[in-house]
This record gives sequence, structure tokens and C-alpha cells, in this order.
Amino acid sequence: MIRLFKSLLSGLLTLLAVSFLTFVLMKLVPGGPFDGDKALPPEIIAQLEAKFRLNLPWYEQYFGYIQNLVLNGDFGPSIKQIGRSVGEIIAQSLPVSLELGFYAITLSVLVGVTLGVTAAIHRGRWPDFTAMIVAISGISLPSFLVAALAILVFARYLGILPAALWDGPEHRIMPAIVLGLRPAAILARLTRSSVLEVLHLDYVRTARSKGLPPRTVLYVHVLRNAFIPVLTVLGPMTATVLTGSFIIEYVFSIPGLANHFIQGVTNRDYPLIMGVTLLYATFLVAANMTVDLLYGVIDPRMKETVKA
Amino acid sequence: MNSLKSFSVPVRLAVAYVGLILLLALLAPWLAPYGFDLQDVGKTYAPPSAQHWFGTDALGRDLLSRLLYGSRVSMMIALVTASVSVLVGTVLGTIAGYAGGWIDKALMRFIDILYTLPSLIVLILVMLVFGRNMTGILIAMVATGWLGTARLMRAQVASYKHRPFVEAASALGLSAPRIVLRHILPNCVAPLIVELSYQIPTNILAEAFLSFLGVGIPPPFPSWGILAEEGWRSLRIYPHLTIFPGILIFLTMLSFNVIGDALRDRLDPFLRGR
Repeated sequence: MIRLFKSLLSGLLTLLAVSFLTFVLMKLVPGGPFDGDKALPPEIIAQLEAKFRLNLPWYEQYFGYIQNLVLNGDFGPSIKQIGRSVGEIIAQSLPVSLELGFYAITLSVLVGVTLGVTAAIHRGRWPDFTAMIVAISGISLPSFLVAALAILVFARYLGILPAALWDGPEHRIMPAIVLGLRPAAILARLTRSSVLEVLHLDYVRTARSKGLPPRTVLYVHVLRNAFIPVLTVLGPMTATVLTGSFIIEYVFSIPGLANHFIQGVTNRDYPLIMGVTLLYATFLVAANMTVDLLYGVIDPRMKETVKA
Repeated sequence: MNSLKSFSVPVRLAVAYVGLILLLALLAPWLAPYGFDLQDVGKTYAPPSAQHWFGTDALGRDLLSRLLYGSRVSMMIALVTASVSVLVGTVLGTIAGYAGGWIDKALMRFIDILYTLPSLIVLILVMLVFGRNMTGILIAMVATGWLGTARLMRAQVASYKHRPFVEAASALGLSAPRIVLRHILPNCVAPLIVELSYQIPTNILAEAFLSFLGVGIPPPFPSWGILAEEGWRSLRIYPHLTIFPGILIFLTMLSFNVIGDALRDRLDPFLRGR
């Protein structure tokens, strides 16, 4: 209980520091939201700046923002998307990014772990070589190249999948596979080395010499321990996949968070930049905390060390 | 032990490929059949031919020439930014590991916080703060790239700090910088080389990402990322403009990753002999 409280507190402090860093960095970017194409009269700019509190010193703007966020749970109004709040924009685009990320992560865990385990139990033979060639290619492939090839083959030449947008289930297939490819490759490599490490341990030899079937040894004895390092990267990886969608959302014209972030940066829409960044950071903190808590479930030894 | 012949064929191919790309990048001004910004409006979107091996782009510029010059830009960015990242990470990680105490705690906490910021967001913001130029891209990539090396070096240095040979050097009255530079760091060269060989492909990809999202170094200066982004606009009709730069990025990253794996397996005593 105390442990949970401590990690929650440390997570909140981290988020506070992240919000401060992002705010300072964002304010350092030259230009402002109102120096767009047509020059506005100075009095209108002054009025707009007063409306969005941009006329205050930067630290007052920051504290005002945090206050509003903590007390009212309000991300503030979008400066450029007139009449919309950042909360609304997030509520609309977050489900899209989450859905895409969920498919990609599920796919990469299924494919990555299967490839990794297969490679490890056939070490040095062709399934191992094939899986590892696939994996190292997977981490070296820029996602836009995979996206380009997929669009050309499945949308342009075969015409069986849509090239862009996010309407029906058929729109989910290509982006999810392209986004999941790299994490799948990373997981495959990690799972392989992790399983190999565990396969050498004494208790596995004991299990085998007891005459247990190889299948039981693998599923009951080996995989459970081999999953610990995999679990460790899964936390940050989930968050990376969510932001890895930057390119994917861009090339497939998917109306998700990343597209709004890029728009926000281009327009210097400060509340939008802050909102999206904090959301991503919250995901990362939450993912890491979940992993920490899961350690205790998957590996009772960890619980003991923490207690002691 | 480190002679090239002791490595497997794929590793030797990867080394040869990286060498070739570096050579092409160095000699680009002499090898390129046309200037990188020479336009020929009568010959836009030409398919690959004897005159233009890789075809031409929307402004009739020769893609082969632009790819050669692009290798120069992309490889320089990747090599310089990766080296500086590893250097900064080494210095800060070593300080944290050797000093210990509150310096160590503060630095590690700072790194934890930075890890919570998605690197792509930091890349974009820092790039815009310092401008879309070489300085901007260097600072942006170092700001996101030093974290891993710093953690690694902190652990390395801390593990050596209490070894007998370091304590002996300390008992002889050697100064801390001397102990670190002469006795500890030489033992950490191997993991640093591995770290560098993985940082390079990461930065090649990061440069392409930035260019693709329109916040990389500005055109008409060619880089692989810029070329891919320019090609993307006409993907359906002229796919070769995206595919060629994409394949170049892929092969280069693949080679560096293969080399990195080989070095890690060779240098990591836990994996040796497996």
C-alpha cells in the first residue's frame, strides 16, 4: 500500500517536472499563435493575447495553466481551433490513437513473443535464423517505407485495402500492421535472448531430469521467468508505440493525437501542445507503474526483495 | 581477435556496405552526374533511364545525384550527432557513477524525467527552438540521445569504483580525474563502441522522421529524409521517388544494426561462447 502511494507520488512529481520542461521549451520556440498569414491590427492581437492570458509573464501563465488543470481538470481552450477546448480535441482523437496503439501492441506481442520463443528453442537452426533475419530487418525498416510498399501493393495494385483515413475496420489493418512491425521485431529479439538465458538455468535442467515433457518445462518453467525482461520493456514500449504513431497517423491521414500535436506545433497552439505532451507522459508513467506492480505478480521473489 | 575475417559473412557485407556508403558520401561532388539542385523542367518525373539511373523528381532534378549528396548530409548528421550524444552521455554518466551521492541521485532523477517525455516531441520542439539547421538538429538529437549512454556508463563506472585496482590507484593518491581517465574509462570502451553503433541507425531514422514531418533541415538541401518526404507527395504515380531513398535508409540502418549486434556479441562476456 505504502509502495503504491510512493510510486503514485513520484509519478505525479515526474509529470509536474515534465509539464514545466515542456512549457519552457514550448515558450522558447520563436513565433507566436497570431503571426500567421495576414497581419492582424495590434489592438486585436492585444485583445486575443489578453483572452488567452498570453500577456502575462510566462511563470504566471504556467501556474495559471497548472492550477486550471489540477483544480478543474481543464486543459484550456485551443487557441487556433476556435471555439474548441483542448479537452474536446483530446476526447475526440485519443480513442483513435488508443485503438491504433492497442492493435499494434497486441499484434507485436503475439508475433514478437512467438518468433522469439521459436527462435530460442530452435537455436542455431533455420527457424532461428529466419526469425532473427525478420527481426533485424524489422527494426531497420523505416515505417514510411513499409507504409509506402503496403499502400502500393494493397491499395494501388490489388485494391483490397483503403490507402488512408479511419472509417471502417478495413482502415485499421494496414496502419496497425505497419505500426506493430518495429515493436514486434524488438520483442522477438528480446524474448529470444531472455528464453536462452533461462534455458541454461539449473532449475530447468532439474525439471527436465524429473522427466517432465518438454512442453511443460517450456510453458510452466521457462516462459514465466523469461517474461520478466519482456515485461520491463513492454511498459515504455506501449508509450513509444502510441507516439510512434506520429509517422503512421501522418502517412495514413488518421485523425489521432499525433496529427493534432503537429498542427499544434505549427500553429503555436500552446494549450494543445501541453495537453498532448502531458497525456503522452501520463501514459508512460502509468505504463511504468503498471509494470512495477506486475513484477510482484509474475515474480514473487521481487515482492520479497522490496519488503526486505 | 578483432580481425574482420573472424566475423560471419553478413557482418563483413555490412561493413563493406557502410564503407561504400561513406565513400560515396565523401566523393558525392565528384561522383554525382548532375548538381543536387540542377533543375530540368522539360524532364520532370522521368523514369529511371541511362541518363538518369534513378529517374528525376518533380523539378526534373536527377535522383541519383540527390541521393549521393543526401548520403553526405544524412551520414554526417547521423555520425556527428551519435558521437556527440555518446560523448555527453559518457561524461555525465561517469560523473554520476564516480561521484555517487546527491549528484548521482539528482542526475538519475533528471534522466528518469526526460525518459518520460516522448523523444519525438522533444526532437520537434528543440529543433524549432534552435532553428531548422545543423545546430538545431545536433542539439535536438543530443538532447534525446545521451540518456541511454549516461545510464550505461553510470552503472559501468559504479561497478569499477570499488574494484581492487581502482582502490589501489586511489590509495596511491592519484587524483579522481586521473583514476577515471586512465584506469576506469579504458575498461568501458567496448560497451561504448556498441552504444555508438546502435545510436547511428537511431539517428538516421530520427533525421528521416523530422524531415518527413516537415521540421527537419529545410530543402532544397537534400537528405534521405527530405528525398523520401518529397517523393511521398507523388507516391501513387511515381513510387520510385519514395522507394529508393527508403531502401537506402533501410540498408544503412540494417548494416549498422548487424555490426552493432556482432560487436555486442563479441564484446559482451556473458554472451561469449553461446
